[in-house]
Amino acid sequence: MSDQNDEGETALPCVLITSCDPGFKEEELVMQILGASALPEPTKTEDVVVWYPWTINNKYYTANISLCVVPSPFSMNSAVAQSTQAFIVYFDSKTKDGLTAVTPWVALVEELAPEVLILVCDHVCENGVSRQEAQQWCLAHAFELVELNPEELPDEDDDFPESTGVKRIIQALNANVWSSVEMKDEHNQGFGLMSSLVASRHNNPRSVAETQCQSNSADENTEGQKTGSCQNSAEVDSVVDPMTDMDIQELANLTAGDADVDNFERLFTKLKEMKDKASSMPHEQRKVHAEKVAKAFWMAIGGDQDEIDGLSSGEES
Amino acid sequence: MIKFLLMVNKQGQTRLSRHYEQVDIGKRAALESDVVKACLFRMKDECSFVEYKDYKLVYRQYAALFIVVGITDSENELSIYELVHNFIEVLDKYFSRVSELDIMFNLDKVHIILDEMIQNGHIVETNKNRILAPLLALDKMAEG
Repeated sequence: MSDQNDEGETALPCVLITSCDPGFKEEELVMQILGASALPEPTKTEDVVVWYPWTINNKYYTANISLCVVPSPFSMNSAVAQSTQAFIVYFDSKTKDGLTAVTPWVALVEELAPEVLILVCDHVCENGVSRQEAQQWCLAHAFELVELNPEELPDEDDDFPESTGVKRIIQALNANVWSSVEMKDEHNQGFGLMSSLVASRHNNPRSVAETQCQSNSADENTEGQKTGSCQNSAEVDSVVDPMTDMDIQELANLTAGDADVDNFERLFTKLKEMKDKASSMPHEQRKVHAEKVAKAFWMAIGGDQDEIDGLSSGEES
Repeated sequence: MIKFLLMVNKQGQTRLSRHYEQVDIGKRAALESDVVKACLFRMKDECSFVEYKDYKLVYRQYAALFIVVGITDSENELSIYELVHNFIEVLDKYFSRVSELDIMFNLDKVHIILDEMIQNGHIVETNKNRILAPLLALDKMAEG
């Protein structure tokens, strides 16, 4: 706890778990997610807020995270606020106004903007909160509805059956890129473009433009990437005209920034723009330009310098 | 003609979007969330074809993922409905039991598959082996 003021100390990302139903304890959900019959030793306890450790391990990555139990919005603290990346709230679906109890959380959650938002109940009730009502609430607040014990079970003959209950909660928590994610190597290769986008999102939050070369040895974690971009700008500076340089810089920023869909699309729009520009050039100049762009792009996505070193055609042919 | 294809999870997060008609980058997010709402809100037993503005949406749900395709009036809904299933089957074959995670971490490959199937908003290939051939060749190359 004393580490909290230390800026270098970063808490593990957490799943904020809360219940708006006095009859349902958050710990119940924690145990089910962990698949344990008893609660593990908490990693930390602060007042009524309790952290439990959990490691997500799937095909693509491992991530150490915390399951953090916060009984009410009033017991929120800054440590939780800063590390919340997923939010799970249980509500009482048997009473008509079950969802109003969730309201105090809504504004708070909007501010924290966690990636994963799940609304949990035992099962939707016609005399309490109906499916339609719950669904509508979820759509309005961008939550997913998960019933722990749904009345209608999904069709078993379906080739792609829906998961329900805690299994679905775990699935949804897996389908997220946590800031503590450690990618598994074998899936990091391939054509590497998307995995570099995803990986760079958290490893290198600063844009490449801001990353000055002097910070090379600052931290080992991102050193490889930083030296990559430094070499990139050094090499690019010497050979490319200012406009192209700006374009390339933007490409680099796009690959280093948030790896969302928009960015990814923008990346391709940008590439297309640069291609269009090249199409108005004379044939020889065009080849040289294309090569520079390709090389810069390669460097921008964190490719290995060695790979393209011997590939220069523009100068000699 | 196919206007766009989206893959969205139950929370409404877009996992893949491919537009075949120019839409301003800034307008895409609004269009996507609007379209997603139109489909996610529907009950399971409702029709998979939705009238939306001046065109139509064809959607299917696979586990926790929705695939939504926007098409013009002149396009055949049933063929698109089958196209979506074929697309999923190709993904399933390639990833052997495809999941949301596979799509998130292999977006480049999913785009390659999609581009083998749809070009310029028209279906160009439906044979699973032929769709996967270029990607498998690339994989072989990447392996060295």
